[in-house]
Amino acid sequence: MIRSWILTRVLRSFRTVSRLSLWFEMRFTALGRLLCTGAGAAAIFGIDPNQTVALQLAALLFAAVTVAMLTSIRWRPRLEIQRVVPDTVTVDVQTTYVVTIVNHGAHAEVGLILADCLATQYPNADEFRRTSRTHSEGRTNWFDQYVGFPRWLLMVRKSRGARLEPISIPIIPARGSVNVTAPLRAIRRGKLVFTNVELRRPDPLGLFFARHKIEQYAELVSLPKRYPIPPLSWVSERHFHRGGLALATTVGDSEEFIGLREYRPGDPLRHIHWRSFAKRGQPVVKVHQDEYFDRHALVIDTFLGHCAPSDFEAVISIAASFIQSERPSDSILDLVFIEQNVWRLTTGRGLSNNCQILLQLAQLEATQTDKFSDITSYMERYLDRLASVIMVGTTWGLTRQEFVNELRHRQLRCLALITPDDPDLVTYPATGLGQPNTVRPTHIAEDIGVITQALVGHAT
Amino acid sequence: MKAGESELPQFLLGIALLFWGWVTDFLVIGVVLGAVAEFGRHSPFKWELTDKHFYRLADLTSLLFAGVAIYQFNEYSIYAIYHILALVPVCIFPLLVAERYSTTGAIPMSALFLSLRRRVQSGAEKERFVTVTSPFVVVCVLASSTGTVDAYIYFACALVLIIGLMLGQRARRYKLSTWFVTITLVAGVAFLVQAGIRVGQQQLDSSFTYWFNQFTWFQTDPNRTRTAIDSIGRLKFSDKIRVRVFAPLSVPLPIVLHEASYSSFNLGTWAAKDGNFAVIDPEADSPTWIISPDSATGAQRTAKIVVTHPHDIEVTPLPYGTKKIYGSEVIEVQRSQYGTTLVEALPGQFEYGVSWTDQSAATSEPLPSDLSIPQNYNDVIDTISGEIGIDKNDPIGTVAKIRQFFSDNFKYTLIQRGFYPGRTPLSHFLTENRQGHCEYFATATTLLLRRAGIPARYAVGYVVDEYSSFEGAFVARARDAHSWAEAYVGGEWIMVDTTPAIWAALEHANASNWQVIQDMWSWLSNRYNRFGRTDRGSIGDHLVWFVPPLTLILVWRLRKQLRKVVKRDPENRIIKNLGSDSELYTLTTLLNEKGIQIEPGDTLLIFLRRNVVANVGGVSLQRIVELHYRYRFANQPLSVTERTELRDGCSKYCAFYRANLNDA
Repeated sequence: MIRSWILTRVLRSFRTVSRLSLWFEMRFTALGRLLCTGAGAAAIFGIDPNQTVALQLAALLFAAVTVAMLTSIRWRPRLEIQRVVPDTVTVDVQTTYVVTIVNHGAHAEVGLILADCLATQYPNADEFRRTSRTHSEGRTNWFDQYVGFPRWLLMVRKSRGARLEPISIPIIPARGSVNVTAPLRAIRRGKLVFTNVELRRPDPLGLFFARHKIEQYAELVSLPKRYPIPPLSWVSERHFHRGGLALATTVGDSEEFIGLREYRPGDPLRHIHWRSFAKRGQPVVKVHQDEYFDRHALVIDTFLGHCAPSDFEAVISIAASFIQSERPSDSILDLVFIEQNVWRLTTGRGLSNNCQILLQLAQLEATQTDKFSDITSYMERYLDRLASVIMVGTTWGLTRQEFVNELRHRQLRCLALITPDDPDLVTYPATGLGQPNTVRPTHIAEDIGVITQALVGHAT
Repeated sequence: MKAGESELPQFLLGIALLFWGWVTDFLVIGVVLGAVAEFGRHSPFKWELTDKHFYRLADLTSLLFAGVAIYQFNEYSIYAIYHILALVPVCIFPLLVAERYSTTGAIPMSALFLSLRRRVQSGAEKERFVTVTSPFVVVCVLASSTGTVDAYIYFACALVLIIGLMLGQRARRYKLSTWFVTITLVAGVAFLVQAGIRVGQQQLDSSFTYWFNQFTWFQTDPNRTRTAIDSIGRLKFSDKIRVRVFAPLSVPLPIVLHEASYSSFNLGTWAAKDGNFAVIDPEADSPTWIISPDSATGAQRTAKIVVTHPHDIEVTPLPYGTKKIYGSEVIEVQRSQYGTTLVEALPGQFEYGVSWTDQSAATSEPLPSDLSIPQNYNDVIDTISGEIGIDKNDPIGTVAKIRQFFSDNFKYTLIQRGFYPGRTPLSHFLTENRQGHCEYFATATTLLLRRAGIPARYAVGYVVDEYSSFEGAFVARARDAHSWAEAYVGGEWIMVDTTPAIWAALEHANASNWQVIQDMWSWLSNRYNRFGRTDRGSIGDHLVWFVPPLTLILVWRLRKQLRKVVKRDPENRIIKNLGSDSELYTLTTLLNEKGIQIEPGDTLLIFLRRNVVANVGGVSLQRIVELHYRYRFANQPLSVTERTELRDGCSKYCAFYRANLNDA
């Protein structure tokens, strides 16, 4: 109770400090920040006027900064801004978007700075507590680890989704416009929300910026990072699937009539050939040309457990890489995961495309409760339609092992991948025996390459 | 911090260094550094420095700074911060050289911050570069403030340098005339602000010097002392130990340590008029200074006293009747006719011995100023003299009457409640309030004695009556500082302390609850300082003190590492540990030893299939590998039978291959 109360206060102070620091960083130029720091230092050293005359310097720097701030109090430019952002970007991939600035004023605007703003979500106490110290700060000093401010800052930065650097705007002629290309590099997957655009004008001394904020909402989705992985070269094992009208419209089964046969219990009534029934006095059913296709399932184990969030990000990246990897054109891939309920999204053969699946994947969150048994019970209902199952997760355990055993028992191909953030845990690829293969989050493409090669070896 | 270095006016850096060298008396160094810095800008020769070089240079800078800091603190105690500030440009000069003479023309941020360095090296953070030229100019200007230069000249020079700095950064959207007007405005505002600060500071100084000295540092001025007679509110005295007296427990208490005496009083300040100091020569054969000729009267006493001197020469507390001072740390001794003793020693804590007898204070003749009474106190002193019934022909009786008067009618308090319009605080004390602290009593007594024709002085010092068994010494705290009157009666100066004796008890009652901790810290600090001065010869003995804290740190570090293991995901831990003792590894090791190595990318199964027969003695390779995988990774224990099967199967395979490979 008390700890929670203290933590809430601490986080609030983090927020205040962060805002002040951001304000200081955004409103002052580099020289302005230098002179502010100099003024502070001079004021401290000048406390005893018998020892130094630093108070003179403090007064000078203080005056410079104050005058600079006073000259920046009021600024109402006649500028209009239009931002065009792409629908999707990919994590860690540099991209750009265009901002058009129109000057309705009678004077050219010179030396302005453009700063775009992304929505910020400050972590609450629960979220902050959940990210343990070791997950993001292994390389900072012990004080920072203990206090947790760098971790908090990292979370705030992640919540923004990208770091947008201020850009110098070229001269905007009177009643003219310019296009500015702004770089964008997403640092996390999910939705990025642009809230407003800021224009900054330096004061005559070049110390402080006047600010003009324009509301300009936009959003885009940052897709997970994908890696080039070789196509799964498993021998295609087509499973028999009963075709039918209902399926034909969705997965492409034809209604090609190939013959008649005697009725067997379980055949649908609509397949009864009534004319032959009447002729022979025994039920006869129509036999259609069946369609065959590969159906694979990609199961994402969303349970995070005690693993680092970066491990889960690796899981999403692996899944995204599989979704985007080359597959036979007549195959279908089901993406199965659990959030509150079990979800199955299908791609291939005229169903939703990869991009739509990736959009879903971009916003998939890890869960703190292990509901893998829900997935297994869901999967059992349609395992007979599957050719293979790829399972990706951060943890391993008895339930998962049993599930893999069940797949093996049903003669299904299975590839289980886990991403523990510890190089010691990387073992020999364990294909073919239903054991988990470990993929290092930092070497995803490399490790999956090795594993898929091993799969080929095992199959031959 | 990255400011456009390339846009800085020509030679600004050199001028800044020259200015710094001029005002801090490092002119030659300033000229050399300035020349090196400016040459770097125009030099065609540049070094290709790598990150490692920058790291080394940054480390060198840190080492230089640490070395300078340690040396200066050892030399100048707390005042070292100003000496360190003066040398900062020299300390960070390697970074400037690296920037100026490197092909990159900037310093990697990771060189400046250790934590960032680790993050950059691990790839977690992108490297960023900064230029240090502009900060260096500001540092030079700031460091110059410690020099011996008139404040207005400094202001003018700093203004020029800062304007130079801003000139390179001026916003191009404005005309030069606009910039010039703004700069003029800045100069005007700055001048007014600095003048305001000076006036304000003087006001502050005059109002709070006494209070401030109580809290921060005590320095008794031999020429004047400002009393708290016109101060409002509660006087607060710290519990800080200021003097340690190492004397036998048999010494009579209290020990009165006299610091200084003053003769002229005006507006709350006592001054020592014509307080000329004469240097006392030491004895020829030993570091001993005779304060007054030895006489047989009174018991001879000796003690060792430890005090802190912020400066070289300070007023030093001595017991009344001091005959001589001795000690190897004493450099020079001066004494005034007021009995005030100045001792020269290295700043910081120093120790000296004293020898004294239980007799009078100073032996000097009274001065005319010892009888003067300020004009504005004449009336009230006359009134009170009449009340007491002073008899100018009976000095001893007068002294007794004054003592009795204060004892009967006055109370001791540290609180003064308000201003007294149209009346001096001392008048209010004598006529109405009749309660105050020792300065009221001492001042009033001195003036009353003078009205009776008895030469009198105002004296300050310490009254020591607390023995600290922790320190093994008598200690005088800040709150034990005291003032009293000295009267010249019967050809000698006697101490007349009219402050109610309860003052010490009241002060003691106000002691902080943290006093024990403060005492402990004070003792440690004292020990450290004494070590720095006298005990350097036996460093080996003192190194033992570092063992317990270092051991604790080691244990803490180990504990942290252990805790890291425990903190891991339990499931991962199981995966990691489970099955690592599988006997199949014996087989793979055996094969490896025989030169059969696993190919990169091979699974264990593929490797074994390729190199090992499928069946040995009825044991299937597929079966033992399957058991091994389950044992190793499945997070479920094998049954006892299965475990035995794995063990036996592997043993058979090992035996088979030992025999066959040896044969081969």
